[in-house]
Amino acid sequence: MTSILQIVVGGLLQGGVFAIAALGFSLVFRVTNVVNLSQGAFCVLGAMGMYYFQVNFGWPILPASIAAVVCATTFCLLVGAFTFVPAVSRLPSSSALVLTAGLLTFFTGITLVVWGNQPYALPPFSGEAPLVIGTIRIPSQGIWLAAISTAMILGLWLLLQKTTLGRALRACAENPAAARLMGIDLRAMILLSFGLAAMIGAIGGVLVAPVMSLQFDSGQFFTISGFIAVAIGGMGSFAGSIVGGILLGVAEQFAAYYVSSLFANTLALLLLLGVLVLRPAGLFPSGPQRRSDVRDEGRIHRAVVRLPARRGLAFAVILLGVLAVVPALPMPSGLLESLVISLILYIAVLGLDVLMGYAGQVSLGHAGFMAVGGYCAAILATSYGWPPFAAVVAAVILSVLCALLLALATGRLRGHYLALATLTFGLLIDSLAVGLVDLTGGPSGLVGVPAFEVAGFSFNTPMRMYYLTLALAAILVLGLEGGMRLGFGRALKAVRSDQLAAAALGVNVSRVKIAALCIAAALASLSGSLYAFSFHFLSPEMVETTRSFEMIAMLVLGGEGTLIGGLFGSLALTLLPTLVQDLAVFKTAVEGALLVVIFLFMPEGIFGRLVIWLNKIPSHGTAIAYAKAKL
Amino acid sequence: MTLELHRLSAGYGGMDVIHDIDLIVRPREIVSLVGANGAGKSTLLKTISGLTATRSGTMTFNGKRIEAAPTATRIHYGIVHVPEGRQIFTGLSVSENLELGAFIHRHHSDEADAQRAEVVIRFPVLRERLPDVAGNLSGGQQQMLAIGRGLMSRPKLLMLDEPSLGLAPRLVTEIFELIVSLRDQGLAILLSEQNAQLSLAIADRGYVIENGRVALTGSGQELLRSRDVADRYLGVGGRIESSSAQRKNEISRRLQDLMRI
Amino acid sequence: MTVSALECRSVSKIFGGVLAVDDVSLTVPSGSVSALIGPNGAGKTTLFNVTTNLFAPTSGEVSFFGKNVAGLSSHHIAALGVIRTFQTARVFPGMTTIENILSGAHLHVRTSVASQMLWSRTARQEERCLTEKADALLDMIGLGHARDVAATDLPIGAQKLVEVVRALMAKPKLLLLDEPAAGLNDRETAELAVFLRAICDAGTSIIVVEHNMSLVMDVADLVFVLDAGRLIASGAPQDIQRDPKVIEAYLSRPEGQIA
Repeated sequence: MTSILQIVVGGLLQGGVFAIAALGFSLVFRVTNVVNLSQGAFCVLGAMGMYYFQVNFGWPILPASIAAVVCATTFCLLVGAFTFVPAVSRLPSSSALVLTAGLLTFFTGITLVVWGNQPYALPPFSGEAPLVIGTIRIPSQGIWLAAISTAMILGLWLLLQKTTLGRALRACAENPAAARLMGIDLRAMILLSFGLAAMIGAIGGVLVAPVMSLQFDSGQFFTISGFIAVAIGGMGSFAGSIVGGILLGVAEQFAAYYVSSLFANTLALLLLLGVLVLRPAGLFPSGPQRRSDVRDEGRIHRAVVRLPARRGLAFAVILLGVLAVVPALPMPSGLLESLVISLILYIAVLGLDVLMGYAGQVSLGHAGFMAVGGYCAAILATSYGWPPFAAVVAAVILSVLCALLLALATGRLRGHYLALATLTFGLLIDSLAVGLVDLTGGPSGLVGVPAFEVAGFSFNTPMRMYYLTLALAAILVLGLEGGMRLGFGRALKAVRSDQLAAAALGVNVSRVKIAALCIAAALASLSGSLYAFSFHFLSPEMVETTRSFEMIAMLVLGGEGTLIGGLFGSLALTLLPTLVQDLAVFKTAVEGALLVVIFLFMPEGIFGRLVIWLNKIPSHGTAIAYAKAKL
Repeated sequence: MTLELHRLSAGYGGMDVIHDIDLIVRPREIVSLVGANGAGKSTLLKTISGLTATRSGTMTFNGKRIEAAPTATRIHYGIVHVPEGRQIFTGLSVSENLELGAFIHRHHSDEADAQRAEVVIRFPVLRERLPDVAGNLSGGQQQMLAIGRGLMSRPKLLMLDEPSLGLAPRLVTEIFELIVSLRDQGLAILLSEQNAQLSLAIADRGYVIENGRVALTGSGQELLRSRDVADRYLGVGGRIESSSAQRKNEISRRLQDLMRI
Repeated sequence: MTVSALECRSVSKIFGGVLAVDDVSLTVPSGSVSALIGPNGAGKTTLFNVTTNLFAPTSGEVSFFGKNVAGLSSHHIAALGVIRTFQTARVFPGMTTIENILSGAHLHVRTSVASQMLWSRTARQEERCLTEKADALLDMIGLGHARDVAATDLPIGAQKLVEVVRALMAKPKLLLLDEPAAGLNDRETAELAVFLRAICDAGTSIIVVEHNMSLVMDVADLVFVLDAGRLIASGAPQDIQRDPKVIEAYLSRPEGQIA
């Protein structure tokens, strides 16, 4: 009995942390209809600020915590004003979601640059001695946490329900256009909600810093837990955030106690997947949803990025030629290996392009399929002695089965719910890779993976792997281009922009989406297994959720919906840190910043920009076409 | 107060929806915009209220240039827009909706209170339902609320976009009587309506908008009697002449061939 | 005795307590152009949406060519040969005009995805064939020059035409057009009238929801008038024009009540 109560107390404590993160999610979602994935980073910034003022400057707790919250909030407001606010008014909400993933990466990177990668811990506000009631021990920091979060929730409720500003925020949440007609400055309200969320997050961070050791990438943990909490509770509902957070905290504590702490996450994710499938709107669906009949005309514009056939062919031949002779050139050591990695990742990004660039379905769990493929192939080849080729094929089949299962479970989910379901899937696979130690080798990874070989020919040098992956990539691009330029590609693009209109023309929307998901899963799986065979090793962090975000960054940077674009993205993001080793610490920050900036200012990506330039060079035929089009 | 548009163009994305509009609304005047769906009437109102950005041309209100001013400033000057489809905040209470109407006067709460009392007297039906969620009002009541919310901003020029949309004939009459009485109390009204007959009947002046341009302008009565307007709304037909009949047959033959592919 | 293209039996649709479509029964013969008219908010688009099963009717039945549509999703209805367009122009962004039109042929792409990916001869032949047809249709509406332009860069009027032609690529037996003339000028509307009659003569039945009365008078064989969700009149255009109930509900209201 005592132990159960003690677990509940632990769960409540943990749940309080989740609830605070969830509250920030709900607030921003209500006002902007965007899931702000950078929410978790606010906590880390707050906590790190606290460390700075309390430990480095030796300030007492109260001034240090106020200074930390003020600094973190101000910084986030500044970043938000130039990124999040224009994104919400300019981009469709799925793109804004990806942009916030970029923001999360950016904040994580900044934390890494400033505070390094070691964990930080702070002393509790009022000593180590816990409060003892009977046999139950409540950590003193838990009381602070409970008291301050209750106060915050109350304050937030009062602000929203009882003040003019709060009414204005709710008006924006419900009908932005009508709110503008009341003279409400929509951008100011978006920024206000973002700032409030940052403040809530920073306060949460300051409060949990003494009970959890935090490091630069803990933001992801808060984002994910907070998001799971809010998705269970009901997006946009404050009561739901709190109940969801506490439910999740208690469930995780019980799982950790009775099963294994390695599986605590897995169970939480299964809980979420269950809620998402059975009750997509969560346990407490928030009251008024945004009107869906108000179409935002400014947001649906999308440029056509396309090279005329002849130029496209010339471009492809030149590109392939350059890539084929690159290994023969003198280059610094390690560069060839990096090139191999870029090509391997490019294969996965190709799949992501079909899913995201063509079919318009945002997947935040693409690395999950890489993991399924990589582990399956590596385990079959290592522990069961399968020939690598057969192992790869089996892995691809398994990934496609997973994709079908996911599609079946999430068939009813649309828009950002699908993105969130894929995120959950990725995390689930992640936690399984860590948890199933006997099978996967757990956190330390799977060692002794043999080299890839086909018919006795072993690809055991980087040079051989390079040509293998280059050939595979070329074949895949050729095949996908065949599909994308004909009926299949048109169906995908139709679904991307207007499902209703596509269905009215006879396109079976869900089947097309599933096909895209299967292709994406198959390619990610292939990429994952090549990754394992190339390194002779596979660990969970090689295919964790950060990798999913990185692949989105590669795709967006290179240019969505172009097939070729992803290559430029993966080359840029893989080679830059290799070439400039000293700056490796900046990699994450730069990646995040690039994703955000490209999304806002160069949505067509590197390759898209290149195509626009190439199309401007007049040739005989196109000049006439151009002149005609001008008429 | 006088609103004056000179060669005004505006649109979304890559295109202009309204082109070179010249329009004037004087004090104590009902001006009706009539025209087909998609002609650009709503875009014109949105441009005047600042929801849609002006591409070129000028807009003055009481001699002040306003084409670059944000919506809030225009409301301060007295330009208030009651949008098509009412767009009330259905999840908020009736009284919260009214208070949001006075958002720009939030620092003068007593004036807002006085204005609210006035609005509630004008719409007794709203008084009974002040604490109710606005989404539960009937269509007619929602329209009253939308207009009431607009009045809370203390307009000098009230722009109404399709106030009769989806209302039963009796309610339509009521709304139009209300519009006339608002004019008589000193407001200028810019009214966009599908129901040309009715809106021209109460209008001092009218503009016929076609494909984003002013096709015709005159007093309400002139436009009502005009043959062009009648044609447009009553339809004359018989435009497929013999030359087009030939073209039609030719197209039809080609279509038949193509459909076999 | 030909099968009727569309038959509605006592169709009603309630939206949030409001009777948007109230017990409407109508029969549209095949081989004709019919028009559905009525004041704004009369329930025309809702009736359209109900017939194409975008939302199920609260009560009543709808059938196309004798086939009941209950439980069919949009793409099944399209496969019956019933293709609809939407009120706001809905060309696909990010695709050129010709790609937009080609996407209408989705139901008639016979080659498999695999064969497309292998660049097979049949897939390429099929594409060439479809492209020729799309180009011919594009020329027919006078937009041949805009072939490789992003469709969203076209003026609204041209986008509406692209939508009609895109629907034609699906070889429909029945076309449902929601306000095809919105955004067109007089000359373009007259041309659209010719085009619609030609489509009908070529064997495709048409139902239009339309505000533009001159278009309706030009093209319609049969007019149905909705007011406040109810069908208040139906018949030949000339008769409709003279029907006092229609004049009262749609064309004007008694002026005496005002001012």
